[in-house]
Amino acid sequence: MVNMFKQHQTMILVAVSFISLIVVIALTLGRSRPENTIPSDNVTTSRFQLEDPTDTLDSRSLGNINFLISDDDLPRELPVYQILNRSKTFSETMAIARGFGIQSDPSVLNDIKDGTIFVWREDSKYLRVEMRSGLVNYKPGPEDDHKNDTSGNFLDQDTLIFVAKNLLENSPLLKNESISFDSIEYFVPTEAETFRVGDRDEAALANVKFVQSVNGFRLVNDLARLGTLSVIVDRSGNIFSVSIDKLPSIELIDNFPTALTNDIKQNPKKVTVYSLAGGSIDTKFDNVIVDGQVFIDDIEIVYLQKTSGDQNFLQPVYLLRGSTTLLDEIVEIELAYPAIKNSGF
Amino acid sequence: MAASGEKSQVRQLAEAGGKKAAKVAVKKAGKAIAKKVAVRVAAGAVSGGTAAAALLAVDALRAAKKIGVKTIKTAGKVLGSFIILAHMMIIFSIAAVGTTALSLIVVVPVAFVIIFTIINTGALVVPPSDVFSPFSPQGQFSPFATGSQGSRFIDATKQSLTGNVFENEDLPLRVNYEITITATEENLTNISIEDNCQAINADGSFECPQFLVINTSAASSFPSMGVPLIDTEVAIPDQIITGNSLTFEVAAEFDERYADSIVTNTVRVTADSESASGETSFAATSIIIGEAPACPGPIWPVTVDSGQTYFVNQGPGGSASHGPPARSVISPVGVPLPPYEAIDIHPVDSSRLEDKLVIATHPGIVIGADKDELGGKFVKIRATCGLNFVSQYVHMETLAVSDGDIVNVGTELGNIGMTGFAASVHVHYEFRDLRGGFRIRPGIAGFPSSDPPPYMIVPFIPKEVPFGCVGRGNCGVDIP
Repeated sequence: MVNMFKQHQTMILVAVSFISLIVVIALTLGRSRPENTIPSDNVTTSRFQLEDPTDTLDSRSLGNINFLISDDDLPRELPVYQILNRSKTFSETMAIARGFGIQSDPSVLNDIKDGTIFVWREDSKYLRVEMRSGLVNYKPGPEDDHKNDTSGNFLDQDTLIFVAKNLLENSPLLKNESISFDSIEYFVPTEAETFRVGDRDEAALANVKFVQSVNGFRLVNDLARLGTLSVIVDRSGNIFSVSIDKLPSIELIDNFPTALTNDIKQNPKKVTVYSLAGGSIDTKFDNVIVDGQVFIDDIEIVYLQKTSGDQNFLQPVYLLRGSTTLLDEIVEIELAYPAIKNSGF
Repeated sequence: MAASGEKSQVRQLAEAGGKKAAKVAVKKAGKAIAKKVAVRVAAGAVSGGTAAAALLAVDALRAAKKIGVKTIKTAGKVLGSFIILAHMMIIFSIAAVGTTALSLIVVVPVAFVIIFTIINTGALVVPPSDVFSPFSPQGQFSPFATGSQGSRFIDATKQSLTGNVFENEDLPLRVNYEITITATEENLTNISIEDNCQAINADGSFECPQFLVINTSAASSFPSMGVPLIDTEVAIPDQIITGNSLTFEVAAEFDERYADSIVTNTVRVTADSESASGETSFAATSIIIGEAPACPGPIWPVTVDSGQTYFVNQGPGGSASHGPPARSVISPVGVPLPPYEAIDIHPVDSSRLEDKLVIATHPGIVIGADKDELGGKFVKIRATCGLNFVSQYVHMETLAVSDGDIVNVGTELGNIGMTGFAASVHVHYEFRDLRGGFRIRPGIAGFPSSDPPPYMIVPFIPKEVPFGCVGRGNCGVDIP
């Protein structure tokens, strides 16, 4: 009798467990989003033949990529913009120089990739403007720099940001532009002529980054370590260098269907490395193969601008953030994937 | 940010995989590390598929949230399902049944739900791609062949089947070359092949003889002997299947004009892979006949023919930026880093840059012509003149060469400049070995002297530059 009761009880419990399992599955299924219901994208994308926005990034091989993100995190469509006018004219370039207090004539040089480049050397000042991309680099000097000097007190962070922002907002390029503070990182001198991103106490320089936005998303370029608007200062707040890769004139083309996780899964070789170790400029990670597990747990949509200027469209890109093990260190990693579904195919 | 020792400990704990370990890890680390632990363990749970790991991951996530880390949305959702189910199963099972039933009830449904949830949430695992370093020469290092350079999707090689070193007495000479193009990771389509050649002697560069196709792996469709490779309608296949190769042979005959010369021959392959278009790889090989030009030549890497003047502002090694490293004396692979075999050359007048050109100091192939935030614009040249080294020219203002270009002594590489982390106009001129390592001088304490000789010494450069010198006066070398 007792055995029968126990058998009966066991059967009931097994049945209850099974029903519970069915209920959990049903609930999970009910909560899941329906499959992609976006309209066919062939018509719209084929009209423009969007170039691959990530083809200038680091295409080194990657190990296993584990994505802990879902389609819930991704929009179904995003706008693409046509770049109307990014290059600089001679008079615009001269105006930039005057804005930095430079009066002399430039050296006019030609680069096999980047086209015409104007360079000024006046007293200790250095100004470089790439005509096609509009990229501007400015170094006020003096040549006796403090890029490896880690002595003395570092100015507090708010002061560093104020100094950098003040310089950008008063530059002739960004006077009427809206910029916002993005991040600050500290460069620690390491091996000969290289740096790593490290603690403020050990650092010689601070890289204060600002951004412009497109459709509410950050504008970034293919120099992850510098960013689009960078001011590098020493411990006393003296400007070491300024880099300005501003948002060009753009015009909305249309909204386009976006890539979803399954697209990334099917095209793993289109995943490129945007940055390693928090954008470290330590060259020890150059050419190091990422052969360990990569865990991606965050995604950001950005608009990616190529510093070559060789670009017709401003497109959104997924920045996939996570971590991996590289040279026995756990380091942050940012991967890139074109956000528009058929971009670059 | 946690210190590196703490990071290491956290990592060890996380990898140990125990619940207690995860809690300790989360307590010990800052929020960034806690997040990493959570993600790591969560990923372990997803791929490992055990209820224990799932619970562990949930704990790690909760702990991470307690200290301010945002919910990892998907992982949380996935693991939320795990914990409900796992707790329910355990309670029912313990109350009612024996070991066998427990296994059936707990393990099977949990495994099922893990698989189902992975599919449902879009969490995915991408298999690893083949290990490949784009700018590392493949295969054996050779002083005459570069191996494949460029795209990871295309492996291109070119080698002499006849040998690489000849005497003038061997002329006239016929040399056979083999070219192999392999689809490494994906099928290749829209394949185009470009062949370039330069002969170099002490008087400069001159034309190569005509190259003739003599055999291919697609022999039936290839033109027969007598058709030049570079302008034939070579029957390149519509595609090369992954793992397969296209191999063919070309030949050239060298007469007495090629005495005392280096003949460098490149092949550049452009193709579309399934996930990228316009991929390019190249390879080069060279032969040396008689007394070839010096390698490297005894010249400075800057032009002086229009009256330009320069000075050396920093020598190899020393306590300034050419090392040895003051703060971290251990390299990533655990060996001490020697001083840089590099010098900095500054123009006396840096106001005008148009006629201040950087030039190559030896015959070779450009294996890197690019820019980065640190070095600015730079050129790396792989020697093809009989010795294994790479010369580097850094902080340039412009580039005049591209990857795969053949260069000779005196070839213009671009304008001198101060791009990257340079505070003054100069060229950082350096030699490294083929793995990107450093040349090591004999007599430097703590370093073996068995490395090939450095090139920052007479006769490779015109004057001795004092080791470790800093400043014009201290270095005492003006150019010319």
